Amino acid sequence: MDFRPLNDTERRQLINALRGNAEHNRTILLDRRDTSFLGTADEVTDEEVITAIKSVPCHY
Amino acid sequence: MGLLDSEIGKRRLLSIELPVIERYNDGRDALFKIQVLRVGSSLIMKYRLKPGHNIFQLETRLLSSYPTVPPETRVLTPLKHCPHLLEGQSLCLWRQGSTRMTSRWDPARFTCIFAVQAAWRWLACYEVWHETGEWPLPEAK
Repeated sequence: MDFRPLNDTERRQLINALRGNAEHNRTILLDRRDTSFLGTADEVTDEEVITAIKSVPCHY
Repeated sequence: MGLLDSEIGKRRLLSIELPVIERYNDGRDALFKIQVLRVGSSLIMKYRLKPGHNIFQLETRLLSSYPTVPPETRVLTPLKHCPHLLEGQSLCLWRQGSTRMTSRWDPARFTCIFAVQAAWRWLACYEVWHETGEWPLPEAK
């Protein structure tokens, strides 16, 4: 696979979203069609819950 | 309890796991829908995730002992060797025996879709690590 990296702004937004999720339980929103990163939110609607990432446990 | 060969397992599958997969697939592009295959006494979910600009192919295996034993997820797309990557490109997602809610698999609270979401977050970390050499999340205790 030819890896296409994130640009600086995209990478910063993704890092902030990952840390906000891990440290402050902020929800990561994903595009329903293709799972791409959309942003973050404090609350998630019933409709979004299946596509969003909130309290998923992980080791790392 | 066997997922496919016991009444409890089959009930779990029909009332929880398959409906949540259908809900996940609803409105999703065909390329990104979860496909479910039966292999022996296991179920394998095949799907794609795209946390950044790259599309990764994955499979999550629900063993006969699922949900007591957590799902196993591996990435089929070749990856560079990185933290939290096990043999066979399996993802290190759950810490067995952990007493922390944030790092352990809880069969009473989670479904197979949690494994997909955890894999998405792992791949998002990988996208960052690929360019910076730093895993963006600290390791859980």
